[in-house]
Amino acid sequence: MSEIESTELNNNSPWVQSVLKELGEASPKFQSKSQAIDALNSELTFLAKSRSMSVSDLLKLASSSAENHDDLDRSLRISSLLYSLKNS
Amino acid sequence: MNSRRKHDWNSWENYLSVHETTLNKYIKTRYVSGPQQYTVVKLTDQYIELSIKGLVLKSDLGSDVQIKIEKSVELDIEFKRPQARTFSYSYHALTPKPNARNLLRYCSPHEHRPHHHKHVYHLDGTYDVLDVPERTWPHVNEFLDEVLSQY
Repeated sequence: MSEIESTELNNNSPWVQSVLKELGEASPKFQSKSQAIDALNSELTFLAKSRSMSVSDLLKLASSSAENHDDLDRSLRISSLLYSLKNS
Repeated sequence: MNSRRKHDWNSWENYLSVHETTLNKYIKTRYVSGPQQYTVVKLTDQYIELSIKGLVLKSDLGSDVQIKIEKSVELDIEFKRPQARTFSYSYHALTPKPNARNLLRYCSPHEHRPHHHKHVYHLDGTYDVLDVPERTWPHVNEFLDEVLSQY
């Protein structure tokens, strides 16, 4: 490692340094983008089934609900992630 | 003239630093309760998720506002210093638990609504969904400034 790179690393905050180190050592949650898409699709289907509704209806409910529910939040988040992964 | 776009690629280190610095600024002056740092998860070698959930900040009006931020980051690891950019996000403001109620949520496109948008929830139970232009969706500080000045 050159002195410049070393200096750059040392300029990072302790949190940034720890994130870079931990991510460098961590195994990814999914081995590939396609595996991530499959797993997220399965999770979204499970959330819809838990409310006895279709994925489409679940997302409509999540978009319109003023009440906050973790599963509705998660369904929107998964949908957004899936859209981005499929289009990236 | 600066030709960089608002949400252009940045070095991964700088991306993290900017997020930490921004969050610290609000925690220093408005912290009420909850986590004080992002959780970072490696989804794949190319995709990382930053999130903070349950952070409660004090608004300009004296209210406690619960904040949930989730950002997915795409990494380009072909460079000597990896480059990063947000490719999916949710910025969400709600009342504190228990009985949390949604106030405002910015979302990146999803299949149900394939463009950047924000949900505005009203006290009477109604809501509006407003389009957000592709290149001007907010940074975290812009979202927090909007929320903490309005609620």
